[in-house]
Amino acid sequence: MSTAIVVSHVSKVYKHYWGPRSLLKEILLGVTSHSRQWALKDVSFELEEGEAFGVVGDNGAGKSTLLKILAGTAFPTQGDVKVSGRISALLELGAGFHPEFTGRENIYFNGALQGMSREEIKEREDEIIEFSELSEFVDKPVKTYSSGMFLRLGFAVATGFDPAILIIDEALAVGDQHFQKKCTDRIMQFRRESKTILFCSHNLYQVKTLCDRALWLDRGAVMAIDSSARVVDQYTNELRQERKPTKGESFERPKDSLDCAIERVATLDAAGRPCNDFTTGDCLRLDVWAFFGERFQGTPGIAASIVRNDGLLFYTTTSTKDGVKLLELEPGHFYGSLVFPSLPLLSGLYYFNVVTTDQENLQAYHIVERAVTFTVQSPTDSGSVKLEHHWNNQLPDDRQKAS
Amino acid sequence: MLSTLLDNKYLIRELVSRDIRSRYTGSVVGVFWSILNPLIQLILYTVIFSFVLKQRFGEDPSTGRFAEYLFCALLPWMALQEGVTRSSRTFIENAPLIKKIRFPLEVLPLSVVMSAFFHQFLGTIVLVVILIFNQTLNLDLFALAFVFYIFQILMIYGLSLVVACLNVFFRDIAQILGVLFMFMFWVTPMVYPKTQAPEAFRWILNLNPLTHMIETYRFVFLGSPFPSLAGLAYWVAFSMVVYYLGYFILNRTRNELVDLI
Repeated sequence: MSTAIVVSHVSKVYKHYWGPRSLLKEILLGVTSHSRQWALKDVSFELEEGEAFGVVGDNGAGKSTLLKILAGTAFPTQGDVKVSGRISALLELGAGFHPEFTGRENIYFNGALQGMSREEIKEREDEIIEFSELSEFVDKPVKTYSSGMFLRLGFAVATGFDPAILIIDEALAVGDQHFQKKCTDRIMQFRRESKTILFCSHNLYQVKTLCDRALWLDRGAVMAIDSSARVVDQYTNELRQERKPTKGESFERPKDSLDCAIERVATLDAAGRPCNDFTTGDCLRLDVWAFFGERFQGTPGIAASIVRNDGLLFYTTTSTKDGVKLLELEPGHFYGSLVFPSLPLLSGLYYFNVVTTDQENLQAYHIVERAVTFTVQSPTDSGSVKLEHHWNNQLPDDRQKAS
Repeated sequence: MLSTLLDNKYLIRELVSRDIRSRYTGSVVGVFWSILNPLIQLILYTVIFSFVLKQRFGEDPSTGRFAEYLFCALLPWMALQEGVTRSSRTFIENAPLIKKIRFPLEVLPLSVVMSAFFHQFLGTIVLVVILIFNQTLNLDLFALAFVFYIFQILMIYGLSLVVACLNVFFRDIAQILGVLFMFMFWVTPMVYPKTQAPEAFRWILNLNPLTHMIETYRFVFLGSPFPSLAGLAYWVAFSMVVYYLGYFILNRTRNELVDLI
């Protein structure tokens, strides 16, 4: 395997001149007359040949700038980019089309723009026309095309000349549902043919499934480069964090709870080792040590809630409601263990809120928010939780009768 | 720089043909306009200058040849004006292309220059046919024009690169060009022979490389007196310098250019 793309320490500054006169002033007198905007800051990564690489990040994170630099339509201010193999970029479909010319003429012109010779274009002409489903329209001026036909031809032309590296910005598929299927099929075919793909999208699910690795950009800087699943999860966690309305931790501690306190909390894996990183379906154990003083009357209880980092409460349970008595290790010191034998949570960053209660669960004595945090990875499913399910491929009895 | 152009010869050909065809889309006779235009122009000039005004060109005794002299100079002049003026806007006009597709920028001005030259060439064919008809063609030398075409194209291309780059930074360039060409038209001995210019101003004409260019063409096509070797050398050197200057400016501004378009 050889490397297809090497990006080393690439930074990009956009200069914003205050006007044509300040530009002239800067050139003639050498007076700085512009403000700078860093679109990319010291970005480095390598792409193996045949790898599918995703780029995620908020709007304005520098994704488009990065793609433009790789596509060769913008140049880095610092650092350099080495690309081996011919690149085709799906940045804007049909960007090079001339409305007055026919589809066929535009195929030739765009082929030429991509550096193809006349013979090479001729070779692929029929295939492109067939893929774009233009048939008799191919010899009509492009200006007469519907927007769907325009995009179809644009996609066919961008992917039709057998590029070694394909850069996709959002537009993974275009047109109606039927054509979208053809688009994704073609991308998957590129994937099978071990072409290098650079994919930038807000559709995190697509990034996760299509790409091997991914890059997370935030305000021009690299936040993470890792397997696409891990990067997407990290990015999602960050997104949820931002979405949470109030971030502040509160240790609400009523005066009379002084002697009812959570002492220690830990998450453990199936083998009983302390663990904070889980995979969906794993066994998760939460150990809680609490102290209930002499003033406390009744049955000591512990409540635990699972909350995602965007503030969404997933589940709350209490030991007393489940009818479990805590183990008294020493006088006043209690221990309880909450076990989720098969964790149904999907990817995300979660934490436990732990509370000491009495048997009626009416009184919350000591509330510890974010007592312990843990992450969950899920390689395949998407959503929030894994729901128990199964598929049938036979008609159930009641249906059989009906038909 | 020549290798980039060779690598992209098919693209350049496509651009030129696109440029020429786009001018005539929807028209009935199409590219024939490129022949009809100079033909009508030449006939018109002949009628006005030779029959109405009865103008003689310099020492030439015949009144019928004024249009020939004029046309000989006007064809390269129009190629220059069209090539440079349109090149000054070509980067901005093709912004969607430049921003979305990777290809060498220099092919854009070159294709404009070649399309202008294409029209000059068709005009020259018309001129040569008329000259043959008038029996005034310099049969021994007119093929030499092809050698001078190379320098003429290099010069126009170089100037085009300069203005194409600069106009991205200062959009005034396109405006300045209009004024400049108006001025240049009269300090180039096109509608008058150099010998008719007052002695005191002649140094300006000699300083103008275009003077030597059109005198060369008149020598080649019409058998006018050979321009001074120094003048010819001056023009050729100017072409080369301008060509290198064009590339120098393009390479210096290339990176920032695409951000500003």
